[in-house]
Amino acid sequence: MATEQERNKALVLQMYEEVWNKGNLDFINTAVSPDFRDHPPRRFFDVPIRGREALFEAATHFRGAMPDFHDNMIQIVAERDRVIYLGRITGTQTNDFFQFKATGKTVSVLGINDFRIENGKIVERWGIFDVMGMMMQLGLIPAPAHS
Amino acid sequence: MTESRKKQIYRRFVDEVINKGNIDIIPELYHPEYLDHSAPPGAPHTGSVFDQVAQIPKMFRGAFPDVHFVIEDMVDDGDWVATRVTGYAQHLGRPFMGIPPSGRKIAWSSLGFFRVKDDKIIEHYGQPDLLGLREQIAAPAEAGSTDENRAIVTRYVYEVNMQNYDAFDEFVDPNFIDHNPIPGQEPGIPGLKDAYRQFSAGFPDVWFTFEDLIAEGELVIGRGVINGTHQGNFAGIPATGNKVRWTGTRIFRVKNGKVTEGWINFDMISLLGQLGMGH
Repeated sequence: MATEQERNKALVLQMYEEVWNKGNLDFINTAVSPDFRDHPPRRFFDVPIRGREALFEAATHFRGAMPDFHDNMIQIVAERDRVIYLGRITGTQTNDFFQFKATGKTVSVLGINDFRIENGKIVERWGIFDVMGMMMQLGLIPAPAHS
Repeated sequence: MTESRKKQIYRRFVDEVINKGNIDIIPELYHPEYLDHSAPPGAPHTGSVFDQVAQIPKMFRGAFPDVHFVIEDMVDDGDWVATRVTGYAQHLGRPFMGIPPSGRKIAWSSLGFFRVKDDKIIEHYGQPDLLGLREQIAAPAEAGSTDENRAIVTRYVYEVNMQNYDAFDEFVDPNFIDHNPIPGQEPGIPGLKDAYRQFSAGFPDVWFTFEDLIAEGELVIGRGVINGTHQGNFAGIPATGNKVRWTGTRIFRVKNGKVTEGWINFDMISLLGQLGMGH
């Protein structure tokens, strides 16, 4: 029989596959608690940080701007009620992304997310992805000058 | 419950290497075949693996001398330990990500994955909230605010460290009053520049590091350490070649974006002792 940690990992992996990779946003209702709390990094857009809308809106915007959006798992670990997921986000921005017009450019950046899981639902997330790297790759901010 | 070996290794990295700058223990914690998938942009790829690891605390502690990481979460599973930390720091040292030392107190999150082999870290992925960090140190300060006063004093000390005294004209008042002048010091900016030039002639690599900086009203008060090598004449003492370190407390008054007054007290007895006086 699978341990609680194995079940939690499977839940997170299925959430990435269904919601982020396939765009099956209904799966948020299955995987995420209505009391979900998000702790995102500083970012250049604004979406809710409470409730299922947090993930629903984020996934809608990302997948809308990058229809080929894909999160490629590199590593996943679990202990206690936590699952931490390391992945590489890839996509081509063929549509507008928040205030930014379509660029046709491709992004590839790392992201790490720390999930807390309670009774088989994701209840909290502390996540950071390489927001600056993404903005640079899309040409929205200049790359830093190296000395 | 005792913490797992992998967690202990990571905790030691945070407590010793990041929070205390103890880079000598890096070979105890890192594997000679260490691979960093997330080396910061511009990080050198020369030198040993351990030298490359040492660049991280050097870069952070150079910009943020009081940097302190608090471990928020660790997950140990298989060969990996994944970690989440909050960094707390004041930007009192060197520029960071192109932003001049701002004096700002900041906090940011960072997540990492570490693979451990033979009780040593052999592989790493990391993702700090660099945008959040950068926005906090780059945020414009309101004119006349304590944030602005702290930024001006931090900049003043940085330019003194860089021996770029010509920059004084931008942020030092022409009628600057030095409450602790050297004997015969001329008034105003010319006298101030001359005093620093005489000091850096004695200690050409002199560097003042603020360890804390507090602003209230027009006053900015800092406590720090001074490091240097005695390679020239200082207060009548010819060069000894000694590497010295002493502490100091400085107070500045800032009005309308300019430093108008300065006080300094430093541990002269310790310095003279390290230069061989009083024995």
